[in-house]
Amino acid sequence: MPRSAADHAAHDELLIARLYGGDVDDRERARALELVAVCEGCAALYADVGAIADATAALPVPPRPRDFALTEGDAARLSPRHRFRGRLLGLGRRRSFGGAMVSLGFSGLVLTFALSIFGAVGKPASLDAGAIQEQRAAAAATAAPVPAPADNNFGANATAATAATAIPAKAPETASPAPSPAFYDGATPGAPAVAGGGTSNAWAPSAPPAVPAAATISQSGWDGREIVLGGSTAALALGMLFLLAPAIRRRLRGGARR
Amino acid sequence: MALVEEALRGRLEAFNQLVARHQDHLFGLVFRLVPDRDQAADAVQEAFFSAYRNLESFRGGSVRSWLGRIAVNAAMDMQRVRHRRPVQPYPEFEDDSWQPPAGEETEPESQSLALERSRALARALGALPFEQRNCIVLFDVDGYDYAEIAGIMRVSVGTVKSRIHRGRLALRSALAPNRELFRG
Repeated sequence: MPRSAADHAAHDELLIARLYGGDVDDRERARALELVAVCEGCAALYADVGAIADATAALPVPPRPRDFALTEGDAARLSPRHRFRGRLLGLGRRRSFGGAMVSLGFSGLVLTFALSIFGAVGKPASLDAGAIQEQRAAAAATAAPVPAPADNNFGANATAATAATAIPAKAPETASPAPSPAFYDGATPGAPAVAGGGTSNAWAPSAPPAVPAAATISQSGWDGREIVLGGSTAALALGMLFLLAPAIRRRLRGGARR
Repeated sequence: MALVEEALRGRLEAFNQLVARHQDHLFGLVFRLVPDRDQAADAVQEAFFSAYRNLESFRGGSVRSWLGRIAVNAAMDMQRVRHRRPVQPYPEFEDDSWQPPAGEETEPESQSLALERSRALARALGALPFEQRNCIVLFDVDGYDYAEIAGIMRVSVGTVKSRIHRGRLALRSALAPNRELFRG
């Protein structure tokens, strides 16, 4: 006997839809078939779902508006060689790359200058420039008579020199293992060896003139700040070049036409 | 298969023979997914571009299925764009200047009924979330099975089943005022 609409409201419509889609196990199938058999609402639902599915399959399609055959131009544009070139020189990518390089370079420059400023602020206030000059002169005078044999241990010499001038010595392990005598000699007479730009030990009171130089100079003679500065400048220039390349090219083409 | 191999050797004519053979089917499929004729045409064109670019990735089997998968992906990309810029779904069914191809119903009354049914169904389909619409169209129209649809849409088989069943129930609710059109 058919059940009322009130009964149907309590029935699982999704189960009926799943029955139509064949997505039920044996137990669910038996339950769904029973509902379809005894409930008018479920039977109508089952019939409607089927009718809608049939109508969907039969939905007319308007005629295609054009032929989709590829032209020679399309084929050339889609060829791997053209795609690679397009990727390499794509405007969007070029702009992204240029922008990234400019950001990187600018950040590097800001970082370098910030380190310089904060480094200068951090220098001890107890030592003024005159005191530093006096210390350097004393250190140079003391260190000058010390012979510098070819196989000399630089750290040992530095320790001896600082002991003579009563300036606290830096630990020997901070010195480079075996600097050449020429390097050592060149550092002594009134122009103490300094790192890179020649200012790194100006505010380093705990170290004698020669020691921090050996500690901060890399094997190539560049200090880290200079490397960052150079790299940042290069990145900035490269980024600007990428960003301005289209305008430069347009200008060059315009000039060539004229 | 032979046409694919010739196209791989650089013969554009061979590829265009494939296009001629499958473009109606693909347009019909994509039109049901992207309910706008111009956008559907763009998606089909993009699908053929993509197929030409990726001919090497064809691993044999049915060219029709391979192209269908590419076209469905192109249609889904188009739908995502359209989702951000919605347009009126299936405007062709609202345009009286376009008439669907005449079927077996030669009686004017039957033709009119069929057109009304198509319009109502197209509106209801267009109102469905595109994930549900895609699954229903692929299953009911193109005959893909649950697993194939799951592979195309990159979701689980259970998700595909759920989308189809719930989509059908949603269609029925949307078509409730026009239910008589579907009861023959």
